[in-house]
Parts: sequence; structure tokens; C-alpha cells
Amino acid sequence: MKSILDILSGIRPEFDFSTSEDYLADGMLDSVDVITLVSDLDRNFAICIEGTDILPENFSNLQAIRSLLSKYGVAA
Amino acid sequence: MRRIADCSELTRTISQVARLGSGYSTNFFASAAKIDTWIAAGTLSVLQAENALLIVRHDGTLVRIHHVASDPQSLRAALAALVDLLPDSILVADLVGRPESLDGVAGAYRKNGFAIHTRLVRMQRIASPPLDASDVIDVESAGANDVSRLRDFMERWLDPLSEQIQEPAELAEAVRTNQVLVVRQGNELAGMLIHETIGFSTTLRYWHVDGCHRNRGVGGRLMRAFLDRCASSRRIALWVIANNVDAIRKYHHYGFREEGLSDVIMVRQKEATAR
Repeated sequence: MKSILDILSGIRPEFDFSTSEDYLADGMLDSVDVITLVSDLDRNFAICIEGTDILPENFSNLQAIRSLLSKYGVAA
Repeated sequence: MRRIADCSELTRTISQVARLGSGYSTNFFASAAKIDTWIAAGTLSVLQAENALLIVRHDGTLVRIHHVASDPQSLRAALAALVDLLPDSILVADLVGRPESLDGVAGAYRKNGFAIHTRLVRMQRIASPPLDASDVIDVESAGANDVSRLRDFMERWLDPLSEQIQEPAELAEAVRTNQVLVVRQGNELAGMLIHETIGFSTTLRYWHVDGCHRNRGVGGRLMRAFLDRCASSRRIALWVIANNVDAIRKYHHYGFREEGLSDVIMVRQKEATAR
């Protein structure tokens, strides 16, 4: 199973996702990337993230993604 | 169909569309700032259907369709309802994704009378060395007085179906934030380039030279000035028409490479024309 950072780097290998507090404001992820990220997280952790959770703030940084995953019972 | 009054209402409505698995799809990727501009202009509405939401934006004589749908069948039913409501409008939809992932969604549009108008591909330039622009002396930032001239230029040279022409307010904002480069020939614009920078990433929105001023190096000077200006951007992305081999060759020359994403532009002509 890949880590969140591995998944993020797979989408945008040119950025270091461990250093940013806001991936969207820093231009590291755009809206198309977020949809790809949701689908990669679904597949990697065998979950189905609800539409109500697909909000920019849930993907803005590593901690936000971890918190979102924990809602689905994933400790990442 | 109902008019949208604020961005949070739209976000809330979008998030209510259930994700039922791999059939979920959307082509709505607008930023909050852009959504606010459209809402202020009163051009944004939604059509809610079972397991699907259509976001409808009036753009001059065109109606642009975005969707959020649980599955292609729900999308197809929602589109059928929309076509019944707007039979005499030209409907345009951009479907963005990996080419292999777009078939089901494109099929839902096709079943409702849409046909492929063109296909764009995304290219990006990552961590390429800056180009020398020291000899570029006639490229300048556009000023507030250029907004209507830029709009005229875009309406004259760009295909409104393939390249969404910015509203005057969006153009004015791009000028104000110093994201528009121009080359002038007397009082006319010989060429223009518009970009948008967010954090470490830049999107090249438009790069165009007036047909009367081609083959004089105008486009090359605009591009070099742009790449010099955005030297600190780690990623520069753009969309280009997939069969525009001349443009793609130029982008390759400047270090851009295809990324693998497609934007299929589907159009439904007015009812009388479509039949």
C-alpha cells in the first residue's frame, strides 16, 4: 500500500508535498488533480470518499488528508 | 433550473451528488474566484436531477454545461431534461480526463445530440532552464486601456467553442495582476499572451499572434518574455488543440511535453440544426 506522500508524488512528481501547508494555494494541485487524488485514495485504501467530503479544505495538506482518511477508518 | 446566489451554495449542492463508485464523474473545475465572477454576472444556474447536477453557464450566445454525476446513466437523464429546457441554445461541454476514462461520459452527451467539436491535450513544462530574453524589447504588460482591445482581438482570432474567451471583468483582473503581455504595432495589438500564476504553478491561457503579423517573430518574443517572467514557476501548463501540429511543435521547442490529459469539447447545436 502506498503512503499519502507517494500518491501525491505520483500525481505531481515535481513538487515536495511534505513542505506545503496549502497544496491548492501553492499551485501544487489543481482541481483536476484533486479528482485524480480522490480516485487514487479510493483505490489505494479500498474506500469510497463521499461527494460531501470532496471539498478543497480536505485536500489542502497532509494533515487534512490524514484526517479525512481517518473518517473512513484508515490510519495513514 | 435555478440561479445560484453564492459560491458556498454551489459547493454544498455539488457535494450532495452521491459517489457510487467508479462511475462518478465531473467536469467542473472552476476556482472559487471564477465562480464568484460568474455569479456576480448572473450567468450561473443549476439543474438538479437524481444523482446528477448540471451547472449551466450562459456565455454570450453559448451555454456551457458542467456536470457532477454519480454515473453515466444519471448524467444522460439530466442532460435530456436540460435539452428539453433549452432546445434552441448551442450547448458546449468540456470533458476533461485521461482519454480512456471519458468514453462513458462522452456517450451520455452523445445520446443527447452532442458531437465532438475538437479535442485538446494538456502540455506542461517542468523545471526547464529559463530562456534568454535579454534581446526582447517590444513585449510589454497590457494596461487598463487595453481591455476592450484585448477582448476584440480574442473575438476576432479565437474559436469561442474551443477557447473560452474571457469576460471583460476577467480580462481586467488579468491586466491588473500583470498577467497579460502584448506586442503592439502602432495602435493595434500584433500579439498577446495571457497567463495565470497560482503559487508554484503557471497556466498559459492564451498565446496568439494577429494573422497579419505572423512569421515576424512576434510569438517567439512573447513566449520568451513569458518564460523569463515565470522562471520561478516550477510547472507551466497549457491546453492546445490536439491536431494543431504547428502549435505543438512550437511548444515542444520551448520545452513543453504532453501530459496525457485530454479535453474533449462536445457541442450540441440548436434543435433545428441538430435534427
